[in-house]
Amino acid sequence: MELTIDRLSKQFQNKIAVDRVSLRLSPGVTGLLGPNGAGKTTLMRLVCGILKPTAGSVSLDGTDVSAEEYRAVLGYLPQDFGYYPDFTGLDFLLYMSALKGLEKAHARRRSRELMDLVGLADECKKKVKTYSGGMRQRLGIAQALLNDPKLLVLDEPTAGLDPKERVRFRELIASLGRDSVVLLSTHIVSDVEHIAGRVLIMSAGQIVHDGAWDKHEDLERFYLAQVGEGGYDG
Amino acid sequence: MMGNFGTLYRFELKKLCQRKMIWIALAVLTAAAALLPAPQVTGKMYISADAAGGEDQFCSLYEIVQRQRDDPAELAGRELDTDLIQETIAKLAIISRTTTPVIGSSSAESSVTVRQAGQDETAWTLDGYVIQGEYWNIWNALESMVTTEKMTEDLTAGDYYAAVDEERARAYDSWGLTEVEAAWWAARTEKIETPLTLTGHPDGGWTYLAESAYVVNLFIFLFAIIALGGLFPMERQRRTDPLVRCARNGGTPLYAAKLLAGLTVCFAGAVLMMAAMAASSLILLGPEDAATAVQQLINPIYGEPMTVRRLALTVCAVYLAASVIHAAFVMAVSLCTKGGTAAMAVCFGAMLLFVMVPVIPLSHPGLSQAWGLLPAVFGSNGVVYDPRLVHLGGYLTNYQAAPIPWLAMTLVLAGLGLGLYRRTPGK
Repeated sequence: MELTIDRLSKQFQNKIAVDRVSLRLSPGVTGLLGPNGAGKTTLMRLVCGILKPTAGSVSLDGTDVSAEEYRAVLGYLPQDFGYYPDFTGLDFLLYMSALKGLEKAHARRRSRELMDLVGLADECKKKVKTYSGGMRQRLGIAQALLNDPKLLVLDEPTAGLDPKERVRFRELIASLGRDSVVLLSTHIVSDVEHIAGRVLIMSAGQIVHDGAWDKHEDLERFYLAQVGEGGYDG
Repeated sequence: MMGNFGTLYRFELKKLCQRKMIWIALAVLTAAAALLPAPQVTGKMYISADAAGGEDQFCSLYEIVQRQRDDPAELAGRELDTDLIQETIAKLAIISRTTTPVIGSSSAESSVTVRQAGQDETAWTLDGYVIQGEYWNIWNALESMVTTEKMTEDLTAGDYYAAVDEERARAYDSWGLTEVEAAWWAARTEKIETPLTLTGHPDGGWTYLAESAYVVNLFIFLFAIIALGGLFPMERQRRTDPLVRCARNGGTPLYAAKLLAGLTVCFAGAVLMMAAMAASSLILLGPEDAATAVQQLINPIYGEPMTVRRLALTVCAVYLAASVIHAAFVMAVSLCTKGGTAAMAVCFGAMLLFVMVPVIPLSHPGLSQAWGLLPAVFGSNGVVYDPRLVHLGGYLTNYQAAPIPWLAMTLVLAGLGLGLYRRTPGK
């Protein structure tokens, strides 16, 4: 299984948000780092088919991003994801299951499994508006996993989680990376350091670093050096 | 896919039903629709001290309506022939000759004189008005066709029906009907049995419903604006857009589910508002005799062989059909503007335009007729009886024809909306 990003560009009026990015991603967790405005979120939206590229293409095993088959195996957690305040947590997952094309009985079973996995089983009948920020984030992670995605795009998945939950979800993401292509964007460099086998660093719409990461090195210093905010001598 | 569509549809309905604004709008507009006929019975009639034989008295319009309804319909079953016309003129001429013209005042036979409060110049006899109400209906029908000067005991049924035919021909001419269209109506009108047979109380709740339901049509449009203006933009405002857009069924299936949910809510609201107005009209003003009374007892020149009740039900059904295009229009506008408030502003502006310009002058016949067929304008300004025909293969009356272009426009708007929905990028 391979995600192919070929000379992908996105221009908003006078600003080039993503500039001729080409990548091939295999199963495993790929960390995406970059300062604010580097184009990470735009790249992720292009990979999810939410935005149409100005040029270039995205495909998974030859299936174009615009195809229904592509979206059938895609899981996405946006950075600042919205919710339906008057839906219960379970309703939210059932609705998302229908959007993802899951059969009704399977959707119900899978939703309950995931509510349990993210620690919301006891809160599944409560309205989402009563959830804390961390609970909503966990619900967001659950919806991204509903369809057992082969391609999982996570934008700041551990933001808002307490340290204990963060570690738990980091491990969960690492386990998902065994079978799926996981693209993980975050500002928390230590998350990438722990679970990503490959690190991408983006700056001004371009990939300025793409490579495997030796976990003994200091990623944070390296990252700052790459984006021009600090020195790196290692 | 169909199973998913059903689930999506139910959740979209749920999303709409969870919005308080919709329930508030529905409650207020339904109450307003129910109160529409109230002014017909909430006024008061003043009874002068002289007439009352003591002190000044007031009599409510509701009491008068009830007395009319309770009054046995003595003329029911009689034909509107020369005998009845002359009987009517003999009964009511006394009133019109002895007092103020047109409406009339105290009867020699009556002991009570009433007049509408605050309007000294108009006066009726309560007993005369109520007990002779059936004659008044005939008088009004006669007077609308022949001049008051001709309302003498020499007036025959032949004179009256000839005057109706002349008046009808004049109306067709002023509406700009072609000879072929007039001939089509003539063939239709032949089916109306003359002399007309009286039924007692044709003028009640059903007639009010037929002539005033267009107000509810505007309420329905307003409801569609409030309820559906934010249906599509809501996803962007709540930032759920990226989630739904990257899902397998987040394209056409979700659009179709949202559209159908919107149409359902608007139609259900329309049924509720129309039912509220119909119920209060029939309760306050009476349902009597409308099943058999022909429309020509109310409007003599109307060319369609139709009972009062059937016309009212047809009007209501047409406005319920209009609710579908109202909903489709609002949703398409909301997809254009990409914002709920902007969509509501545009649709409300359109509604004001339709209210302020209910008709285009007949000097522009094509435009005038097309404008009259717009769902928000349809039936307003007393165009219930508009005889202009629509040529769609064969000739159709406005009420038969209107739902056809509305259905076509709904499909066009739905298609346009789908194009906009698919083209609009996620936020």
